[in-house]
Amino acid sequence: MLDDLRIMLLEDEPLVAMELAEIISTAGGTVAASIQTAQEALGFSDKTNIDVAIFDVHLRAGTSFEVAEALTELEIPFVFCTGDGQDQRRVANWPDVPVIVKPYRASVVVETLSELMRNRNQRHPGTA
Amino acid sequence: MNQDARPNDQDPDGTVFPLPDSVWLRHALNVARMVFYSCEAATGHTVRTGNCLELMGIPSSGPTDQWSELVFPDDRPYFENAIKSISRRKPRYEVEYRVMHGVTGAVFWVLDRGEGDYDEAGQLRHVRGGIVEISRRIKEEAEKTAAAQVYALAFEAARMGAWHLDVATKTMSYTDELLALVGLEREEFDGTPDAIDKIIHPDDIGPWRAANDESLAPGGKLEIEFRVNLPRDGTRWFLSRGDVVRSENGAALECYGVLIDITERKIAEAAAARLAAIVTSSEDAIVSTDLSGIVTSWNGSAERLLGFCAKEMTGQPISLIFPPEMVGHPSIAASAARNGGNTAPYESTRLRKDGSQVDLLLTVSPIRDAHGTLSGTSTIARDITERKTWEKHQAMLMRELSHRVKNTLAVIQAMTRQTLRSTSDPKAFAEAFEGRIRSLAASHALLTDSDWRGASLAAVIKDQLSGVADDFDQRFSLRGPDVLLPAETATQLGLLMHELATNATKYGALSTTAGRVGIVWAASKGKLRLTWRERGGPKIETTPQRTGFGTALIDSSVARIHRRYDPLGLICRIQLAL
Repeated sequence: MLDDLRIMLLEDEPLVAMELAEIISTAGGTVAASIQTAQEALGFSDKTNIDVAIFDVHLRAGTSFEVAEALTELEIPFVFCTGDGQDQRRVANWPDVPVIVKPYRASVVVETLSELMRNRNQRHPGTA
Repeated sequence: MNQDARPNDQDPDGTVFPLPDSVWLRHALNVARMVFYSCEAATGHTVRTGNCLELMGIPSSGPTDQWSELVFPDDRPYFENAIKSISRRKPRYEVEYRVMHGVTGAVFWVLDRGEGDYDEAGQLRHVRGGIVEISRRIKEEAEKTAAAQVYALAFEAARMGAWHLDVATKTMSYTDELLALVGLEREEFDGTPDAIDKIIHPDDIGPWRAANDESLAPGGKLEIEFRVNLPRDGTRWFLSRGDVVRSENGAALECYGVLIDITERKIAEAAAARLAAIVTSSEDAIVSTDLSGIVTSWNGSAERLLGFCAKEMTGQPISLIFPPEMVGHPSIAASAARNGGNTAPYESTRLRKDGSQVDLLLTVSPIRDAHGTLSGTSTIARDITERKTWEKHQAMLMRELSHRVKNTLAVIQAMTRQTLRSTSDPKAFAEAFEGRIRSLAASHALLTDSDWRGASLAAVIKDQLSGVADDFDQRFSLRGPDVLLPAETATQLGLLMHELATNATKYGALSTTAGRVGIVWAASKGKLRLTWRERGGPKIETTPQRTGFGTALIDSSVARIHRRYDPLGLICRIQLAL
């Protein structure tokens, strides 16, 4: 379902990151980068080589909104992933970004990502 | 000047009534406003001095009825009784009455003094006398009486008694009002020093005497407030004020003064003093303003709480301490109070002198004067900064707790799936999964002890490893400085230790009886470097190709990890940020 998608993970809980990576690779996608801090993610030089990103909103040091803004500028789609009620209100500032609520089922992650890519390809057929 | 004036008039019996025939006498009578008269008892014919036409408006000669008619009707009985009272034994009379001027109708007072003249047979022959106009005297007397009445009424209304002290005898005389004030009958109080001492409150006798002595000294005046024990009304407060009359050489002769009941004022003063003491000592800031918002009082707690002292704020607009968003928008509660309403306490913020804001619980009440008219508002302010901080802290804790629970659930979810993937049968799953849950729980227990501020690295390691081997001290050697791990790092490192120990138990140094693990760490520049070194386990021939959970976790950890399968045992170097 996620055939050949190159995915960036921003998640500072190693176990959760591992599980996400597992879900993605099982569904046929590739984890291009598994990053734990916003700072590292901003410095990640190969961003253009990414098809889609998954952001844990609440990171140990701050939030992932800054990274989200950077990706928006590069027109790289992404989803938010959060278990925090307050963060769920804060992501309301990003109405077009899908939100995956923790704890999640593997199928929800896969479906959210593929639907995001499908919508995007309809809007930008050239990049399909 | 008087046509009717005659030089002489002769009685029927031949006696001559001397009439004014000289200019000076006539002048004297006019100035004295006086008329002489003589009435013949038998005929009633009367002759008067010639100035009577001008003074009284009747001719100097005519029937006596002419005069009676001039007498003011209300006063006629007095006049008639006086005339009837004439007897041989008591021939003289004296009466005051009003008459109406025969020509102008003007009413004036006269004093009429006369005498009956009897013959030897006892027959009344003449009534002769003089009439003096006394309106001015009467008027002055009336004024005096009226003034005295006014004073009496005023003293009574003011609950004020007057007294007089004779310095030589130290005895006091006094008015009825004074007696009424102290609730005594005249026979109960004779004004002597003993009597005075008896009614004054024992505590006040000393000051009372001192004040009296001082007033008698040159230039002294008396003013003293003291209590009196009234036989019927209990203790009441009085103010005595007096002035001293002195001889030419300055010696005090007598003293005049008034006594005023000031009990109500004293009660009000005491109540005000009590209130003032409460306001002054209150832990709460208490501030009053007039209707235009000008500060009228500012207590010590207000000074402590807001930094401005009473001197700085009194007379200034209260808006000085409003935060910017409030300027021009006075609170609804304060407006309500200014309109006379009471308001429930509400929370707001105010500015301190240093510009910082302080959270306050405000209770605003209207202030009314003695007539019930609104005169301002009183505000009691309680510092709730601590409570607000606590509330914010609590809200933060709740958010933090919620986040942590969700996070922990996500970790457990991931752990479940991972464990499921790497185990082949339910028994192995249960064993591995339970071990990981215990690892997580052990870290949480350590963190809870420190309110999630962090955990000691040595404690985390010991907690994770103590369940692995019974002979902990033989199997493990720990060496490193005391390091405090942040909460998340502690959980992760705990799990890492758990997985390393589990692997060592299955395949490494802990799978043999002689194997040992050395753990050495050092911290510098915000980084922790930890080495896990196994010795005495099975000899490692090749690098194992395992994809177990432990290995995967180690590989995906926040930490930078380097593993080397030395022939003597696994060497794992971990580097992570603190």
